Amino acid sequence: MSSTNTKDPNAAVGLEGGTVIAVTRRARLAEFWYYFSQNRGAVIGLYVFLAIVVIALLAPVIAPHSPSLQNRGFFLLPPVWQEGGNWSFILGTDAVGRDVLSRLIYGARFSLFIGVVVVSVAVSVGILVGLIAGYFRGAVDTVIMRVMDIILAFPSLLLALVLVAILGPGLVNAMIAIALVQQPHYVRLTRAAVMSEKGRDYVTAARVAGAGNIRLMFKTILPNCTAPLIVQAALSFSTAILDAAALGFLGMGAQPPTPEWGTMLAEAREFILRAWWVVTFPGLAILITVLAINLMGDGLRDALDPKLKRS
Amino acid sequence: MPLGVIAAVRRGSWLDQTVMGAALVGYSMPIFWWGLLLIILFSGILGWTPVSGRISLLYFFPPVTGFMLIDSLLSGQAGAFKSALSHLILPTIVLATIPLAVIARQTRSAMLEVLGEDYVRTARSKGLPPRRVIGLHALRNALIPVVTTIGLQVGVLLAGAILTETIFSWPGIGKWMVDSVFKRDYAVVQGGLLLIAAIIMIVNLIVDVLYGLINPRIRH
Repeated sequence: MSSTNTKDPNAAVGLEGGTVIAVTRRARLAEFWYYFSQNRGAVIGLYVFLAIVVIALLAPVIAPHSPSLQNRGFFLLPPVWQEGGNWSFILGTDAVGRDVLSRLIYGARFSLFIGVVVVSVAVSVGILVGLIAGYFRGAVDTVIMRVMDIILAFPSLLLALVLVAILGPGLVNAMIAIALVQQPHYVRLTRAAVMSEKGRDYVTAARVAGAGNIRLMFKTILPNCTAPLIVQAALSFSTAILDAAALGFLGMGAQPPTPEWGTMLAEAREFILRAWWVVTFPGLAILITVLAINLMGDGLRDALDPKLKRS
Repeated sequence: MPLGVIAAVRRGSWLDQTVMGAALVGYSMPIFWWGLLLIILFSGILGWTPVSGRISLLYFFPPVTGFMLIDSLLSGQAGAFKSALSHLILPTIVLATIPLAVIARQTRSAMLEVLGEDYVRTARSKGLPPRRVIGLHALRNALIPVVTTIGLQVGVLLAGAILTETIFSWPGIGKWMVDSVFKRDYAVVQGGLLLIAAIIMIVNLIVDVLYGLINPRIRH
């Protein structure tokens, strides 16, 4: 019901020309922003996330030290507010004298990079496969969905772990594994949305007008299925970061000299009782990033889901 | 689950906001870090709980059932049961955090949906006490998505067990899998994966059967 309401003005506008489309798009963005900003947590999440992005982009400028520079005079130096702290190492140093703060700042780059790569791979593959399954149905659909069911039957982290074990440990392999594990969610979402859209009148109209399969799939149906996919992308961004950190923690993700947050935690594990700061801060960084993205994802869902909008 | 119900009933109150805030934090928590943090706090600073393992090295007894708690009771050694129990506390908290958060969130949203239904209003207007309306009319109908979520949490739980068992060095499936991955023992990895997938499938089957119990309409 609700989706036909939003689609009708579009159909009318399409006849009148380009400028009007631009205006309605802006209006729709404004409407989206209105609902999004109703949710205070989502806005906070957005700001925190933007701050992390800026930190990651400006890492070489902000970071006080090189992330791999080992300062021989300062092994396991506590943070600045504790006794023995030093202002040049605000969050202390780790067991080989590297500045924790600098490593955290550079770590933001890796985490965001992992998130972006994993989500884009999972989204593009997932949408393509889901579109094919939902559009053609029949045997293709059955085969694809059974394969996806098999992937979904395993806990995501476990399957990623096994995939990395087969591919060999490393950041790139970890990203491939996590993307592969996450992509069934997109396949299912896309398939469900495509199946419900395919029977609509506007699709039939486009087909009668002579649109081919490819055009129907990508230009007619796909743009109307994006809302759940955007929400899922935002939420799986955080899962990707979390899983990559977990793999790093198990020694299967990024390898030790890399300042990745999970790997940092794994290296720091033996010092937990002696030096709390090497353990606490990387985890805190993961928590804040994931929390910000989850808050944002919740806000997106509330803003994009017409069912919740009414209430 | 009770937390989710309370949050839904008192929607918008400070209690709702705190519970949902805590649930979101729990949901975003990297549990391997959470485990380390709890070790620092409770074992390192406060000294209340042991750091890792299943039981103190002071106690030894032959395994009878394989369950450490039952074995320690059967062995009759004073303190053995307590030791086994205290080794359980931290891993339990760590492992339970994410499912707790997810279930609380799911319960809240399911309850909110159901509380808006007509039959809940009818029940209220009949003059039934709120406790009965919420507990019987609303909760029972909100239970289906919740049970689904609980079933799905088993997978999360097993994945979490990998990390938790590594941190607390428990000899469970998770640590067994990680160790064999490191040793490139592919036969064990395959077998373990199959076992875990089978467990998850069985749990999902049980969930499907439970639907029929909760909602008689689903029974064919």
